[in-house]
Amino acid sequence: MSVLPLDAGQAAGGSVKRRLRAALRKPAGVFGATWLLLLVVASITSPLWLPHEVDEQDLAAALAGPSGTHWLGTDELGRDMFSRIVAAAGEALIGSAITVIVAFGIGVPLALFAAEHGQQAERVVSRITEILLALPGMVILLAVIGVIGPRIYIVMAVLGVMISAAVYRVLLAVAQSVRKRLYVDAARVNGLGSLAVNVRHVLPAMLTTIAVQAAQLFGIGLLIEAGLAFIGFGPRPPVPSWGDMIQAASVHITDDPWLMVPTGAVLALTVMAANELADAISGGAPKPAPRLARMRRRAAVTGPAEPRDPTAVLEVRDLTVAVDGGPALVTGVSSPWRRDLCSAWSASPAAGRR
Amino acid sequence: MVGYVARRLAFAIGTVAAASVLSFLLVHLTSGSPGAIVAGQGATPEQIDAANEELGWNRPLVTQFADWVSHVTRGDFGTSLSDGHDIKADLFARLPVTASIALLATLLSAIVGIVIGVTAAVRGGRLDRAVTAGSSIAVSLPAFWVGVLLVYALSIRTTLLPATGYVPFAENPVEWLKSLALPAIALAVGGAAIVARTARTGMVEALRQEHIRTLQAIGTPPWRLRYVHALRFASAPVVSVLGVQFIALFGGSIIVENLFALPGLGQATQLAVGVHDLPAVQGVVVIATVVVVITNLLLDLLVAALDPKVRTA
Amino acid sequence: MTARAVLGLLPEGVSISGGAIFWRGRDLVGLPESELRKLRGPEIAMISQEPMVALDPMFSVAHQLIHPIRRLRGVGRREARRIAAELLQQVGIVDGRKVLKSYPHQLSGGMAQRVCIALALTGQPKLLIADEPTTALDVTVQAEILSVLRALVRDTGLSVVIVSHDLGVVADICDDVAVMYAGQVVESGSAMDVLESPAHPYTTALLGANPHVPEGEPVPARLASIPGTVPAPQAWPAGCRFASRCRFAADKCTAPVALEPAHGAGSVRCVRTHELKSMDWISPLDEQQPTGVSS
Repeated sequence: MSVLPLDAGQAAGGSVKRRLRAALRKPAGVFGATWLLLLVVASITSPLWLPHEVDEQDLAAALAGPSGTHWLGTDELGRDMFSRIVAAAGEALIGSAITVIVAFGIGVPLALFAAEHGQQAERVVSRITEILLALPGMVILLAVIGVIGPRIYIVMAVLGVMISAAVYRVLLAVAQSVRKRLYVDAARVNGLGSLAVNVRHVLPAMLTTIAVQAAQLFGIGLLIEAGLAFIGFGPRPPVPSWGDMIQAASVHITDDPWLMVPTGAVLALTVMAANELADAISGGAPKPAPRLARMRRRAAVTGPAEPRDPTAVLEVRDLTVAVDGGPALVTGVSSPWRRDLCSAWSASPAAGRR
Repeated sequence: MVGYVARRLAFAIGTVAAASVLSFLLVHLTSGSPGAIVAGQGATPEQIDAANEELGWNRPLVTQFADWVSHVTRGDFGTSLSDGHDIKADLFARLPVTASIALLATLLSAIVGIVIGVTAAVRGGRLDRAVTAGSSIAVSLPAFWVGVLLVYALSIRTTLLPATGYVPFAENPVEWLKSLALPAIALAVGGAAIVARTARTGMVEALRQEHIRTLQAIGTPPWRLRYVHALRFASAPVVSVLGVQFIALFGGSIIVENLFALPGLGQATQLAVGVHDLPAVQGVVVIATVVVVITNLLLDLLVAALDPKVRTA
Repeated sequence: MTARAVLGLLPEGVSISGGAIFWRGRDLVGLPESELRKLRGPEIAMISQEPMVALDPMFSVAHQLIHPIRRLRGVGRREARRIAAELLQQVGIVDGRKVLKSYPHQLSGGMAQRVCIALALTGQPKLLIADEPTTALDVTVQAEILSVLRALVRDTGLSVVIVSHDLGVVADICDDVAVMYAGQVVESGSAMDVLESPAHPYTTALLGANPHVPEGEPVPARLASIPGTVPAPQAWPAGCRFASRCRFAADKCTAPVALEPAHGAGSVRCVRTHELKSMDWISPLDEQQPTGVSS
């Protein structure tokens, strides 16, 4: 139930389409997209092919392990785990999708508004969202359930409202940086209306971040939804839900530990798929830390050399500095420096450094 | 510094006020009548109305709010609609359990996460990639599921730790820690992964700073560069993520308490929510908010103490 | 780049692929990191071009100075504090006590650069590499920093290598100069010789583009500019790398050019240097369009 700190995926560089395509070329992105797609298709088409009815009981085969008839085993009432897991996917995915849609439905316009209307508007909106973020979300969700009952979709929408604060925070930074760019000013000077500027310039720049965040939030939504169902505030039985199934399995942890595996693994894999997709879109592997300096041995061509000028304190001879596996940046620099002098390399900036 | 503290304090008070208003409105604008619960099942509309009248439910909203606030500020959350117990006494008895779990889980996340994240950033290479991959798996695991697996591994297969039951700290500190260890570990798996990511990114960022180069150019030993200068630089994002984590883990502990049969706020909330005991629900919201806000206020002060820009302002 | 190579502090993904760097008779290229680290500080130190980010923002100036002083000079805390104050005085900070207590964000750019110099001096190095030490600073502050460096060279026997694209700075305080273009030394010699009678067109152009006018000389009507940009490392030609932008370029400039002796102990890398008696970068040539004018 830990809520990820939403980090802005590096918004720079490349359109969303290109990012998505690039993401789908990475193994993590492929896994994420495939798994989610598979789950969506499976849950939509499930009435057509599920091997067992969701509430079909087979008490004789209760708590059985995986077998030919029950691929993932059966629960305490002999119901088929595989069928129940697939059947429960729909509700889980829709619930989480509602959270995501509400969060962005509120967060995006707020960010656009605050970025457009200057400091004061931004300050007001930011304070409100900060407060929203500082509230104990789970307790509030439970309070909502206490008032309106376990109506999952509404509860997930409320979660969306609370998470919209986090969405706003990340997107505001992106929107502000886009607005600072000149072409947005130019567009405004050219008479483009506020809505048009937002739709044509600001929004497209935010799309990559939105895609990353949406995938991440989707995973968070799934976890929270399952957590609520786990403590009994999910869909009413006999409608299956992942959280409730894990709860039921936990009761049988002593006599049938296997029962814990299928549902938990599917839930974890689904969340993981969303996270992996988010990572893949945001640009994949995080950059490694710089090594704290190392001096690469020079090419073994030159033998043990002796300084040419014995009076020099520092003598640079035929120095070549190169990008590893790339072009040389400095070639054949030689110069002796004598003691107690002030000397200079006067380099054109572009060549002296990168 | 004084200005900063004052701002954070004002923000904390604002947050608690917002939570109060929110929980009050939530209950009063949307729900039918608490009288129905007090009067019990099968009560006639007249009985329900009488119960509502007695509870003051039929008065104007503003009056009720003012009344409620004046009670709450005096620490009076009213009595439970379901069993007539004093809500404050009940919640205050339960608060230490939940708060301890959340605090232990946050501490554990912090220690494990920082060690792993910093090591990954410093060592780099294969270890770094393993940590990155491992943390993205760990954040995806539902804490309550991890909890059950832990129970299986540590209480059933082996009897290292008790699966259920709570021993108050005052009674036996060692047993207290043992009774909270499993829920805290279950929650800390995801928490540590997030802290590790933040610490790793922070360290990488810190090691790229120009001042690290300056220090290197005067021969500062690598351990000092890493564990004094870079770590200090990376501490700010880590501490602020801990604040977010405490809120998340507080919520998470409400869910895993159920699994470990711990008499915490989670259990109380679950019971109150199940029977629409609205004053109790309101009480939980206010108390949880106060705890979360105080913790974050303390972390804000820690950030201030760590950052000279804030400290000297 | 070259300056960083000396200290073995090249950025990630860049390394020395050939040649040698002799420091007091010892080749630094290929030395293990632990050996190099012993040199950094007590032998060679460096100051960077961005003083505002070169100090650790989390620690006070006192803390940042005292630690290396204790490490490099093996003295106690109290003695280190005294030395720190002394160093600050040496780099021209009057209010040393206050600065010691300050944090980097409370310092101005010039003040920060002085502290950086003091920091570089904690190990009493023999050589200070100053990488564009004044680029980020105001003009008046630049002059102060340069005079600090000049005083250090004069009073303490420190050698300073300055990396700069500002020939005014070079003329101001340097004894020797090596002019680099596109990763190559194109001309070197004593600063006076090179700047008075440049032998390479690039140096000439740089001088023509220098807005600093020595006192008593007429302000030029316009400044020279060099058309185009420095080619990227991948695009460096086999011949003279400046040829494509040189108004004196000829056919033979496409062949590789060797360094030839010039300015006494110095050198120049131009095949036409002897043909071009007067390399005037500004007045129009007959056969060429006048080069662009910048103000």
